[in-house]
Amino acid sequence: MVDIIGELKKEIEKLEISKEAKNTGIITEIGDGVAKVDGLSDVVFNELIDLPNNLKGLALNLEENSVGIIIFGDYTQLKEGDEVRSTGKILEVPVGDSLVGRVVNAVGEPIDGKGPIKSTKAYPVEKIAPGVISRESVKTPLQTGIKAIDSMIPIGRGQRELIIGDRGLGKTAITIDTIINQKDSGVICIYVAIGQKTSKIAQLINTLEKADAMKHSIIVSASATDSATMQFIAPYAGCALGEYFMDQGKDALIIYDDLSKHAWSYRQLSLLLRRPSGREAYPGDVFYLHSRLLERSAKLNEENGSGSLTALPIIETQEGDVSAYIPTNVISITDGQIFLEGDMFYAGTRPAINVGLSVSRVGGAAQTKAMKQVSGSLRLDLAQYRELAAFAQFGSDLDETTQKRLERGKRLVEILKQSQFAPMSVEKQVVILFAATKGFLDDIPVDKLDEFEQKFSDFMSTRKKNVLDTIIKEESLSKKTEQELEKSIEEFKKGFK
Amino acid sequence: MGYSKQDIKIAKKIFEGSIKEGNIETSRLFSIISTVKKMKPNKALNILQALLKEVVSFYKKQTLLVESSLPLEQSYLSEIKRIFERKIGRPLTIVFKENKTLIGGIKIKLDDNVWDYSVNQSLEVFKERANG
Repeated sequence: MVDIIGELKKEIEKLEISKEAKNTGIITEIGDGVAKVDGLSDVVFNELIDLPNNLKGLALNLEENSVGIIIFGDYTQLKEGDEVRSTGKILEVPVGDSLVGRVVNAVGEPIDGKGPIKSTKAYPVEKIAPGVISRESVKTPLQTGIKAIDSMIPIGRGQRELIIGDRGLGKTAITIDTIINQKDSGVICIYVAIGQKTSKIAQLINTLEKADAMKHSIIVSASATDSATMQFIAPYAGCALGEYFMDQGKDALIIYDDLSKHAWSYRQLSLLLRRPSGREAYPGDVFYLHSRLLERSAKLNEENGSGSLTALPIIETQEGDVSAYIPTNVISITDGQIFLEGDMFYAGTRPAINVGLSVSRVGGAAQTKAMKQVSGSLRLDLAQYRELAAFAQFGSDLDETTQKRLERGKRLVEILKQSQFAPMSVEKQVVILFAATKGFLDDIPVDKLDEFEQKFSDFMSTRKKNVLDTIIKEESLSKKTEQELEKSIEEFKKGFK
Repeated sequence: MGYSKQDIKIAKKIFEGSIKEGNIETSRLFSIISTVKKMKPNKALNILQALLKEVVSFYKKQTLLVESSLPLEQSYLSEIKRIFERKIGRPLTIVFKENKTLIGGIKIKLDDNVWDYSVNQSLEVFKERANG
């Protein structure tokens, strides 16, 4: 009891009454998560506002005679005539290593029931992206563990690669696999859920926990039940968490799932704030909404600690329409896109990546030499196969070369299929793609390829570990390694039925 | 609210027309209002509402509202008025209001700015800190 009194005394002694004046205003209109305030004559854009009942708001609209603020939390507790105060601060979220493994809301408060987060640092939610001087080009690969991506659409640390496709085609699945694959890579993963079902978020957390991937992950949740304000701010808050690790010289990966819903929440707020609407009723600055967010992903140079923040934004299309407003915006902002196609998904090609429409503009520089060697012709071979396959549907008599190409293509497509939550290490990807592109699988029936791949992978890890180790060590395929690899494949094939 | 930016512009012009030597010339303001009422321009009511807001805002800038849980002596109020007039650089009107919710201390309000030295405010700060 003495301790409590002592603590209280200390706290009271510490209390200082600010001699500065507080700028105040009166709520004149309130509803749907936004309020119009008279007064607040000294408020600045994006300033945090103190509201009654311990609520906070953000000044988003500075008009001639009033201020439009968006409210965090339950706005029904506020009423017309309530006094609000400016704080002189901008919105910040707690950052630090203590957040790793936790689930937080859009303002950095824990929502996983694991107690308070001890954090001594806070980062502003809105921040200017690193400039050209502090950056360097993308050069280190970020392995997703997905063969189709790592071989043909490689992602580098600091890159922004869009994942785009209709609902239910496996966009989130790709990101989960990528998070799982970062287990021993030292990459901290931040998953920002925007406007998603709470059940889906709970399922995702469960999956990551089962895969032991929560140890290097942070979940920022702004589900469909949260207000548009929380959904609007969530990706910026997540980005601030990632920036902390980047500034520490570490590598971080951030997933925005998804930016379509983020644009919807911003549209809702903008319409409620009576901002003029443009195409598809989005406000005029919807491009800037996403460009300022994605520009914050960067690869810093040595003088700035060599940290990186890689972004995997997700966009959900309607009926595969990539020419809609938000998809075209985000396509133009990012350094490439992974396009998921419904037809391929329903035909059983999973992940349903359309390699023709998918591209990585900067990732090639980050790809390991070994992967480049085996995947050099992969994209072209697949494109030729698709063209021939469409053509072969109409004719029965095909020359031998065409038939061989078709058979090779079928095997390549089969090899690129991959189960969910089963990311593959880069050296294993290299050996299986080597086998496929060099024609070692041409005599294996297509329906046996899955079994072949699994057993071959086990064979290499147990019996030919030295070859895998050489690939990891040298990061390229020397003549000698190629010969050893060829021998290993032949040896395995003898025993495979 | 109802009034548009155009209504505000008109109201501001009317208001500016009724200011003489930094003060509102009441007779002039009322004569403009009666002219507006007679002419009945489109959205006259909205313009008058916007004008009322301008007048209220003008008086808010001139009025120093002092709140305390107990009545204050006139000498204290005069001292506060003197300090603020020197700080702001223009004459002010002082208004005193008793406010029991402050518990103790004093709260001064001028236009949108508040100097809150009340016990109630200190407790609020303490509460916020205790909640982390």
